[in-house]
Amino acid sequence: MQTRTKTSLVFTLILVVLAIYWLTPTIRWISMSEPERRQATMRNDPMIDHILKLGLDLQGGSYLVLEVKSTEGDAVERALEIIRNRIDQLGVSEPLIHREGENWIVVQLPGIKEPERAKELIGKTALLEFRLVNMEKTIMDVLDADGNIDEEKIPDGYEVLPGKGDRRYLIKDTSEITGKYLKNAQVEIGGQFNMPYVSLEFEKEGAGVFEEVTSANIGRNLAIVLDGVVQSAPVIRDRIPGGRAIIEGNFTMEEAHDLAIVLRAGALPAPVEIIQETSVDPSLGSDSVRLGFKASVIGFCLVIIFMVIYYQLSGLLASLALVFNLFFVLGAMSALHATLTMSGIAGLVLTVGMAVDANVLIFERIREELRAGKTVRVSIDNGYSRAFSTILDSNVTTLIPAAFLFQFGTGQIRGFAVTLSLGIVFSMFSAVVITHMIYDIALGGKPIKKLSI
Amino acid sequence: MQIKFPQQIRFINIRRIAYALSMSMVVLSIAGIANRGLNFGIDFTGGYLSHVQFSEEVKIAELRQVLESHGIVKPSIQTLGQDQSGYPVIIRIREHNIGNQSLEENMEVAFEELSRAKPVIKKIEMVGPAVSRHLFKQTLLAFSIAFLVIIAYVGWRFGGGMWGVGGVVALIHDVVITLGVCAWTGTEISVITTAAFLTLAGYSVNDTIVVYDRIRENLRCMYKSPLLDIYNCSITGTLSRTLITGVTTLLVVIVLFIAGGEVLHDFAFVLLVGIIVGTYSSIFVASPICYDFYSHRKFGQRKSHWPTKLR
Repeated sequence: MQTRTKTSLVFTLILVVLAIYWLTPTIRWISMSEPERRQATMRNDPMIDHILKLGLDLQGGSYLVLEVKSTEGDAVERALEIIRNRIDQLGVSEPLIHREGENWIVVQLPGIKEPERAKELIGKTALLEFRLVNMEKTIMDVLDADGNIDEEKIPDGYEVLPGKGDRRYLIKDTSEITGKYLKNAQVEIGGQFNMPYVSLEFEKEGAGVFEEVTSANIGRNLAIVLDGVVQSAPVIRDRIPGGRAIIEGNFTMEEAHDLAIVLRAGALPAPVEIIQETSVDPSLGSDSVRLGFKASVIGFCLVIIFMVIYYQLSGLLASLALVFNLFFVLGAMSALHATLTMSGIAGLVLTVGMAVDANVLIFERIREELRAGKTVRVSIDNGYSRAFSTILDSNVTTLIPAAFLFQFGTGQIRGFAVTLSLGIVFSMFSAVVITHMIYDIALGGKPIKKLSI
Repeated sequence: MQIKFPQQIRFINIRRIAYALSMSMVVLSIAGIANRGLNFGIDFTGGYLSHVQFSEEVKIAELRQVLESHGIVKPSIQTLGQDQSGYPVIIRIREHNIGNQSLEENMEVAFEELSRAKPVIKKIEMVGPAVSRHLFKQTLLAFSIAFLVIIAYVGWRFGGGMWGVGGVVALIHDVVITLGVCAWTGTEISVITTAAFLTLAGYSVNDTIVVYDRIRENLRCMYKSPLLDIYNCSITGTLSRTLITGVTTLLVVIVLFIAGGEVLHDFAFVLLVGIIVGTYSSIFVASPICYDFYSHRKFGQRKSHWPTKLR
């Protein structure tokens, strides 16, 4: 065996071993049954970190971009922390939350089935205030003849806030105490109608303030205002020591639960707005996986059939190179912790079509050399060496756009750029080095009369 | 199997016809872009897209009427036929005048009227104006820089001169015609189709480079032959490679087009058109431009490789 062949063989074996190493967790995961998977997740099996991850478009989930309506101080950082807290309590596995640009926060929630609920939970400012209700005037007193609010009739220091349903309240425009002093918030069930409610507990300072407010305003209504909406406005019957309060308001269990979460995590320093959303139902995701898999297999088979018809055994060799190529790409993606998205699958499929280009260039050269009457061995070696600079060129021209797509692209495009670039890089190896090595080994030292090409 | 080509096919000789064809295609494309405009997706315009699954067939007209009665302006509705789980429909909305309620809340209210068909929202895409502006800028930036880098690479690789120009003209030719086809067919230009355009740019340049490489090689080996023959032989010599790579790439793109699902449909369409145009241009546009230039002038970057008599 020539030294070149030996070196190629060693490199190929190293790459194959690495690819197998990186793909083993994924293959194990695919072959596991649903309960086994759940068990593995429960015991935090380290293999889970090494599975080839699917993008949100393939496994379902939500991708949200939030705009924080303030850039003062560390408002965005604080908002990010609070949102992270809330999401942690929602129990999403592997959420990704990061800041982007000046005042955007990107939230990725893989696998969630109820994007509405998550959005509600994340987007709520959760500014909790306790405000006194005006006892001299009722809402009726500030209405004009048509039933609209007459701004001029509102007493100084008061404002009208909506409540649940059609109710409106005339309440003070400053708060007695806010959610800032909260120590804990919890869902409880009980009361008159056995409904869920949220019980609040203030920390020491807050408890003192709360006691003062309640003792000074016995007999008045104290409105509990959440994000500018009055939840309820119970009468203060007595001084309340110990800093405990409850929020009632016809909640469902889920609503009460989520309210407790946002109150515990704290109010956002500024309102946030969801400015971009992509939510995919897991069922649609798995449909896409099937679709992508089918398209890849069909595309792959068609290319193999074509290559074998056109180049016979050499075509089969090129197809083998394709298999190696796909194997290496997927292995590298696992190693790099890259995610496979639908556009990534497109990149993979496209790689299959374009990666054979290297072999086509080589084979055409070999045929030319053979036609010119050279021996098989010389033709093969010339074919490889003469096609190489062209192959290099063609790969660079594909890599340039892929690199820019990766650098500037959003998630969707990045997946495509990653698979395409990896496919191109590995095709250099599999289509050039591996096929040449196989020719060398197969032809051995024997004099060959005819090449199946 | 082998396709037998003669030693040279006289591609260069019919270059004027090819120029005329290309020029008219380019003019038609620019007319299409100017006339019909490009159909930008919600990534770039902002808006809302939802993929809804109905359990029974809902008429487009009925769906439109229900949506419009809830303040949704000009919804674009696309039915995807029937699959095993029901009747999927894609609704695209660019604007709405709903006031207080969010678009999604309103959609939900609207869907309640269609509860008999059990609408299930399978996918939501919402892009706000700030994000769409950002995406548009970002994509335009990536696209232009990548383009410039490809052009610079071609220039560097071929030592400047007409070779670079030929490659770039072919590249612009391919992109403009593909854009024109998109304009005429109303194909959506989204972030993902932009990726297809960049891929196509790479493919086009690649195809041209293969032919150029052969021409430059033949300028050395066949220096006694007339320039015309050198060009024709080079194009013919690389023809089977050009066609076979075109075919294998087209095969997978056609598969993506047919079986890749809604997301990849337009992406595959752009590549489909682009690869056909790109293959054509590497034969009929890129090389003839160089030929015309170098056959008229005694001008070459590597003089020693050039025949003393050009014709």
